[in-house]
Amino acid sequence: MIGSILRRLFELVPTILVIVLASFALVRLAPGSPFSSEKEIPPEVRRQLDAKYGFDKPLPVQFLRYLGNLARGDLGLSTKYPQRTVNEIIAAGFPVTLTLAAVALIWSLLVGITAGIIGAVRQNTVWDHAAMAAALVGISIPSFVLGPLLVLVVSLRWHLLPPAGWGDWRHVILPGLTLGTIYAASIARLTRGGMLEVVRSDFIRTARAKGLSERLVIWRHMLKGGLLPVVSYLGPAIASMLTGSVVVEKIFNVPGIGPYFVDAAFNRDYFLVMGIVLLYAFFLLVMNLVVDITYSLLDPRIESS
Amino acid sequence: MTASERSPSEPAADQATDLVVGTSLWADAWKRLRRNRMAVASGGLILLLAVACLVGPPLIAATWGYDEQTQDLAYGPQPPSWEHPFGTDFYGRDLLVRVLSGGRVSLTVGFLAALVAATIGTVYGAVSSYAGGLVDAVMMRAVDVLYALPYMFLVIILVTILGKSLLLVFLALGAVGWLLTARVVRGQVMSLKQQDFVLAAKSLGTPGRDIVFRHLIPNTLGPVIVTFTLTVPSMILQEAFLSFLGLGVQAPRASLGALINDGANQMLVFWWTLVFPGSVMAVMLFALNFLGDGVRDALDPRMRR
Repeated sequence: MIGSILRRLFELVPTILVIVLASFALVRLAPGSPFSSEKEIPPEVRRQLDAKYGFDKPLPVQFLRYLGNLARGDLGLSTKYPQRTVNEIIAAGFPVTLTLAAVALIWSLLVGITAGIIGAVRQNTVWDHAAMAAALVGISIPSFVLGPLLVLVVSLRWHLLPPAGWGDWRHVILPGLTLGTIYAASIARLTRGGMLEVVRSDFIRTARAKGLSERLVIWRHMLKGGLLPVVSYLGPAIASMLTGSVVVEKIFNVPGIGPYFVDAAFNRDYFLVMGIVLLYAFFLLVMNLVVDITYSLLDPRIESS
Repeated sequence: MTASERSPSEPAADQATDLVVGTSLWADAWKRLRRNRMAVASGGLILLLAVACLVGPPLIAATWGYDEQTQDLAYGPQPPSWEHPFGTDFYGRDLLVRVLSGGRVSLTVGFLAALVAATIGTVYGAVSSYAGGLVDAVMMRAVDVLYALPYMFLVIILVTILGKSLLLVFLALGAVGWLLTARVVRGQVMSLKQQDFVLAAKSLGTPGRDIVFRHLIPNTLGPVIVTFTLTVPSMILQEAFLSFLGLGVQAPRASLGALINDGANQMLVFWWTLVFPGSVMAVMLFALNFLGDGVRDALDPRMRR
């Protein structure tokens, strides 16, 4: 087990190298430059700026230098915010985005799995139909519609929670709900489908035959089957939660990493764009690995085959 | 949901009849889809929306002489009335026309982007799988790498590189969104290429290109259509996401995402500017998701959740 995890970790290295190369090429071969949006800069100043960021060297040299810095954990300087390094910007924004995504994840798992269990255990009853209808509605309401509506009702009408900003726990709730609801809906459908798939299998019949209570059958055996599709969905879900938080951060004025990214892409802030893309890519790769490992722990058939 | 005439416990027999009578799969699927009342209703609703979005704006322009860009600053923002059922926005523009033409943008981008994604994904997956060996390994590794890149960020970079035109938005969305189709098609072709009809084609000296395009791809059409119908709403969502961030369709042209963004900024005073575009968007996504589910159930009863 540990050996295979190490092997998988080792396999990530070439993937990451390819991602670094691809994103470097994509960002650098794009027309425009970090300094083109500003007013006419005198050529001497321009030359100075290029020298400061190393843009005066040929691209392959720049790439190797970037790789070297990357190996030491240095993501370079921002051209848009000359006073700050990319590391500093990420260190300030990423924990906020991560907190938001974590709250959204917890919310979506709690609600989604509960609704899925209700749907599966009470299949084809009013409960089931209500849960699945709610899930379909949840899938269809985009975060940028749900967010403003929540602000309108919860913050401005009922004055329960702050409409925007970042500080204590009360600021996390609305953005978290906004971000997580669409995933809660998908998770509910996956849980229900997964549980219904195993409901007629032999091991459930065995569990019932040996006299386990219905509660134990549901919680210990059926739920395990129901969670398999959810686990494999979590990788892509976390990925799109992290990127989806761009919109939620904009709605609720949350100081996460998202707004920086859109800005940086526009201003050709090379190192900031690459830094954020690489951070996310690395995070996603590790998440997918964790998901795969969890999957094989949950489903012993994977390991043996 | 519809009941299949065949018992689900006989998948082998199921497949065998599908292979013997080539047309029965489609006729069967069509019959199953028609019996799914909610899916039919959703399909009708989408058709209605599409017709309204296509015919509405020119009709209103011909009858009342204004389109989605006609301003009336003296009139300003007015709540819904008989003259303007959705009200008017800050510049006195009729919101109904703006929502309809925004809906047209959404539907167009959604379908075209999904088409681009399905085409690239199908060809890529089929070629990769048919070629097999090292080619397959390299091509699928590339898909893995792209999968690890934060999808929305990639689109944002592409949009800022390519410029903010409508054509480029759906090209960018489609260019990044084909990964799932590629994986699905590859899986299908993997099992198809072992079958006798491919061997027969090979023994007749059919060139590889013809085997892929004439024999393999047509046989993957079922799963491709299922993926396609479920890709359309997610593409619409992503276009709106981009427009919401100000990266999609540019003012004064309307798109649902941009309208929702405007509405979210003024919802305190002019609630209708958020509620109407938001509900049209939600209804559109709801119907498309429902239809997509119906198509999946119809084409592959064993995948039903």
